[in-house]
Amino acid sequence: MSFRNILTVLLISFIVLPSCDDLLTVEDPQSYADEDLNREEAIPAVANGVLGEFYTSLDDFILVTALLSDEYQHTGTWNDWDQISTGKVRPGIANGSSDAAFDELLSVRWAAEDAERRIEEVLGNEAESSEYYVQVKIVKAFANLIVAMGYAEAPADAGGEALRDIELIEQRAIPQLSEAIQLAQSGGFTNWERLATAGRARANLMAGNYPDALTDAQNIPDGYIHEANYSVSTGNQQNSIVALTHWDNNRAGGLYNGWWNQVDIDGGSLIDPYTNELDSRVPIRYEDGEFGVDGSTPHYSEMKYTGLGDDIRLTHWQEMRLIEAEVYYEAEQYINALNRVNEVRTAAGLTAHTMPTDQSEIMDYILHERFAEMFLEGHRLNDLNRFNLILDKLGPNRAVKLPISINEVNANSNISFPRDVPGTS
Amino acid sequence: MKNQIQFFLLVVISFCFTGVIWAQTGTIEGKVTDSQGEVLPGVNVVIDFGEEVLGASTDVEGNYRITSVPVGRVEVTARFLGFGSQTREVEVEAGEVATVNFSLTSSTIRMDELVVTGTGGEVSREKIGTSITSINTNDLLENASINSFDEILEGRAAGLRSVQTSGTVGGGNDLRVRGTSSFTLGQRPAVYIDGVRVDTRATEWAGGGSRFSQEFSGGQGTDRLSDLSPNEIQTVEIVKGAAAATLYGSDASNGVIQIITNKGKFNSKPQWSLRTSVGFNRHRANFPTKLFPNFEGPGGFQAKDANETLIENGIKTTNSLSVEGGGSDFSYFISGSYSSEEGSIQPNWMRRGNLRANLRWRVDNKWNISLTTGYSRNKVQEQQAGNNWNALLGNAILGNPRVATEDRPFGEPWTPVEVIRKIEAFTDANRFTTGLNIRYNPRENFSQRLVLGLDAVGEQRERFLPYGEPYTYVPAGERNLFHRSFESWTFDYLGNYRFSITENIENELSWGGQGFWEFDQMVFATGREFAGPGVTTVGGGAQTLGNEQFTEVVTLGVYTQTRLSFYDKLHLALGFRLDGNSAFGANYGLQEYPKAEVSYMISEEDFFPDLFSSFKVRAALGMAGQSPGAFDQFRTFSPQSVLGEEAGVIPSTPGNPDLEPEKSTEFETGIEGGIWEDRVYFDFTYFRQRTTDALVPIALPPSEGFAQAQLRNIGEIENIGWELALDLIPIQSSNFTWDTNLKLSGVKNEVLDIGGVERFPAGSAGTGGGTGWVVEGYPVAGVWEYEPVSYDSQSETWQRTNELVYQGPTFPTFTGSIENVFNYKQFRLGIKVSSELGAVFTNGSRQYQNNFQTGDEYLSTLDENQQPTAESTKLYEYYRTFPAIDSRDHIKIQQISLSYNLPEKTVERLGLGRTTINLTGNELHWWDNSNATHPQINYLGGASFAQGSGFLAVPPPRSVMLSISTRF
Repeated sequence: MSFRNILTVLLISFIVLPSCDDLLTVEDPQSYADEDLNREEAIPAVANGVLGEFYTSLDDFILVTALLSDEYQHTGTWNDWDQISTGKVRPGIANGSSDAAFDELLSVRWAAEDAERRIEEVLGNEAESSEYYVQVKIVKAFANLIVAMGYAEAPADAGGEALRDIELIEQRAIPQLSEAIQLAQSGGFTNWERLATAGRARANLMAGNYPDALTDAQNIPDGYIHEANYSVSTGNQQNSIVALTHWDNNRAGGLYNGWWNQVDIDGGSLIDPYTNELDSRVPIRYEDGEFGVDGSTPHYSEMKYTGLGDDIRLTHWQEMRLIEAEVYYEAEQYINALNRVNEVRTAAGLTAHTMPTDQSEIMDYILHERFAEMFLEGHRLNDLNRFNLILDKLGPNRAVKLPISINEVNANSNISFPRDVPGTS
Repeated sequence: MKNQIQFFLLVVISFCFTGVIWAQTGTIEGKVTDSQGEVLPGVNVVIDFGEEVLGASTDVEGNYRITSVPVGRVEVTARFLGFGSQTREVEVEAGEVATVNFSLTSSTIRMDELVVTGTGGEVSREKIGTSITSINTNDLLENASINSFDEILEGRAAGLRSVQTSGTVGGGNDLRVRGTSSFTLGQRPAVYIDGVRVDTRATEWAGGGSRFSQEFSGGQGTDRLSDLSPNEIQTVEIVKGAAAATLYGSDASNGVIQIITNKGKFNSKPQWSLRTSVGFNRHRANFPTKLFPNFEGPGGFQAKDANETLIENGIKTTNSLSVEGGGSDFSYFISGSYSSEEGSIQPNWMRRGNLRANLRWRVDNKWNISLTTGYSRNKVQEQQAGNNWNALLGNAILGNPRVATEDRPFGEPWTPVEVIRKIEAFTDANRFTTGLNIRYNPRENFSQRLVLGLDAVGEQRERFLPYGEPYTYVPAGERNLFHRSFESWTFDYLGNYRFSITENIENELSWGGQGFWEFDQMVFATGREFAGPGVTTVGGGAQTLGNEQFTEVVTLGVYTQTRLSFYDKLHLALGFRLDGNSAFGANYGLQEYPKAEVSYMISEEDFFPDLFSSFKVRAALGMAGQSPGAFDQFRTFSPQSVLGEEAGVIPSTPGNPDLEPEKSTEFETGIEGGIWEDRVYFDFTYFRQRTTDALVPIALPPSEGFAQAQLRNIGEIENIGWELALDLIPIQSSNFTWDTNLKLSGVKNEVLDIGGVERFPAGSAGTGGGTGWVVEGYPVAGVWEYEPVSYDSQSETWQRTNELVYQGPTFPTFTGSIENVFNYKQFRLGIKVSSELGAVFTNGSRQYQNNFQTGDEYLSTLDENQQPTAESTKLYEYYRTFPAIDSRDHIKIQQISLSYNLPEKTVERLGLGRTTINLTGNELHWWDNSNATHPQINYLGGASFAQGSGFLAVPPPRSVMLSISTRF
């Protein structure tokens, strides 16, 4: 072979390689590309993915807010849980679990908006009559609502400026739920209409829009319940509360020690403080000598959820009755307020309250009823805040709400440290 | 007709001519021994006639015979690694036999050694402008008991770190070259066996179940490099940096390791080799549970000390048999070996069988074909360790001796040791590696080589947690069945053309193309919640789960290199590679990798002092790359089961169509040579490597949807270091030789730029995770933690700094080893001491022990009534607030080996060749201040990006092996 031939081979090689594009093309068979989903048949999976992810973020939210409130305390070895449980969580200091729950909810909110856009693009004018369109709009609104219940602030929109919790309710959750209700009514999607209405009842209550809250709550009939679904079929669908705190599993968190002396160990549940009856809505298990993962803290295990696939109530008629009770209380309609509380109590098998001498005690009834009825459903921290009870129940120098995720602040050019957030700064 | 006559005449003339040649040749034979008279098998004895080389290898008795040597005066040269070459002149007479015996003396000089390097075929070391380490395995095996690939490398190449990270049998090994050159990508060098790219995975891969099933064995992973049998390996070459590895392209910035397996020699009688070893592993009794027996649990049960109850002698044996030989145009090497090893804490064992057949066929003067094929089966019973509820040693050392009972003799916090022992966890890997190597040399100065190869690994992991035992998350049993199928196909063409430009300037032009196709598929199945005992299959579970993962990577590259030699003293090489890779972003094209290197044998100059028998000055500048992850470029949405069994899709990876390879540009320079009549060899290297376009994970705001960060090529890393290898023979006499081998290296790693990001955790999915941070101005994966400010004894609380404080690098900044070998008559004693300095680590076990108010450190602070004291409270509160940060600095006796060569007369009487008895001790003792059971402890697998913390990991054990090797 001559030197010239060799040079020719070399030259050909260097020319041929750039044309080998096809040889260098691979496909990821495990995922969809963005454009793959812009098809009508993909819409159900896109919309259900949004809803499913919302549910899988809800249990994580419930855990971190339970730890910061008086529902739970840390009994494991994780520093981030310890920070939350002792109220030391602060903006600007990374907290894996608190940040993760926030990030999941915000990610779901974006996914819902992205799904909205995709449905509009694929279905055009027919989008508004699509049930999936309503579904993703409700998830978006609920994501804002849930974030506002536990976190001090959050970006208004993707990569946007921060809104305080109450602003997020007023400027985002309520109008978004209203839009969803209208679309659901037009489309005849009763279940979605009720879910959005129940969500707006909660949002209006938080915003202090009592008449609106009452109207919404009254639109939800007894027996209504909407559950977030969990499943053992895949890891991410499992109920985190069971996985991380149930006695049979991790035991990293357990019932807050302020409740321990109100637990009937043999009866396996909390005792109703007014009647000393067993309250089956707060089932607790404790065996002498059983400790948390830290090896030293007695572990009072929740028994409300016992299986990794146990569902969690997102909202239900009992919440609506208690919203009504609260609105009536604020309107000084004490008999109505008490009746609503008793409606919930009797349904739980507890003796009804009689009208107290001091009618302000009704508010205590409502709050305890909310605690018991909605134990480990993500409401307690919000309730303690709404009534400024953190100091009373948990002591001083504690964060009252979870801070915005450090991941959001670090990556969002419209939000920067320091954050001036009462109770967390 | 005319043609037929011409042909007939040609044949007749040819035969006549052949007859003339036959009549004009003679034979040379002889024996080769070392300076002490010991025979040396395998020595190459050659006669170089320029265009033709005649030669033979010595047999087991050190004899050689070269036939058909043209008459006249010829020069016969004997070459053998570790000995100085010798050349003798002899007069060959027609039809006669001339005898030439050699007595070779030990030498450290290796300048004429041929190395493969992959950069244009074999080339002699003197022509190379970079530092390349070559390890002769056969030599090592004879003088020390070596049972795994990592033991071949450990402490034998300056700048290469090969450290056993787990003390469990079959666990991973940390293997890396010259510092850390990425923030997110794996740091293992690319490994080739006889030119075929092979699987090097060493990380845990049995995920896919999230909370459904825990990590398979706590993160340690099995190391696929442990499939290799040292008995099959002839040489290991370490191509260290980007400058040396440029022509390997986009997977070479971590360096390259070339494994060359044994080949049979042409014209040699069958030579059998038998090696058998027996020994044991045993942990040093330094577990922090020595005070446990001072405590009693309920009912007066005396707590157990793990040192006394868990440590056993783990028996290990290795047997190997091989035969090699060949005819005039055919050679073979066939070997089989079987190793069995038990861990010092049971249950934990490994059984490995290896078969290899390497065949060479010299078709004619132009064509050579070789087929190398290896098969291995490697089965490991993995021990539960590391970050794992069921960590066996972890549950013992974190036990609370005050609550010890018969069922929980250490007061195990999570799972009793005896219950953990019921877990059956196996990894069973079948591996088939084959390469077809075709060489075509149409002319003496023109050669071509084609390698087609396949490395296929079928790896099955299975685990069974029996029904009814108190496993966390698994109260009613669980069965996991995971399968991994890996294939790597290699296509490699190389052309080589030598020609003279002028009388004193020679050029060697190389060109080639490579293609690699890698497929990695994993399938997972889990069944849990059995109805009762008796069922052990996935399908028997009330809940079942399946999953699959897949990656595919294609690399195509072409390259060329020209190596100019001026007066055979000054050598200049210029090279260039062009790479395409399926992992590059769609908007990115091809990547160019240029290189230039120069070496100057200054000792060839007349003016240079005679003190130096050889002296080379070298320098090189080159670039190599590392590809992003297989599918990192794609913006994806993942399918996910939601709402029970509904199909759902969620945002997954943001992707980046502009992804490029990370590019490491390295300048290295050095000197190497020999002095004192070749009894001193030195090799000093300085390198400065800068990695640009390093992938930085830019976190997107969670409010923008994608939880995973977007990788962008915006980072910059610098590694500056030096390496010194010094071999010397201070004493050499007929009966006694003292050989000293020193390897030192230092490296400074610094993050130069991360695109304005304040910090982010090093490592990412797929690299085994990490524990360090990436911060500008500090090493990659540096250890950062809050530090104590004050302690208030009244409130019993520690105040800490508001900011994380840098504690130190995660990898050592200085590494050194020294091996002294003493030969006295038939005896050989080797003592190897090694040290690593500069690294710190998060000592998770120490923190947890104090946090759990247990372990010797905490228990020793209690009062005589075993009640807390102010000191113990302070300690407890400290570790509630801070992790333990400790130093990995240490010095250790890595190996002592004693060998005895049976006298020649004895072995001859037995009909044997060279026979050696060897006793080797490894990891014998260490001095450190790590407050851990071993200063190199690491719970993550061998391919982890950064070193994992020492959390509940099992330390490497001591081991002692007795072996006998013989030839016949």
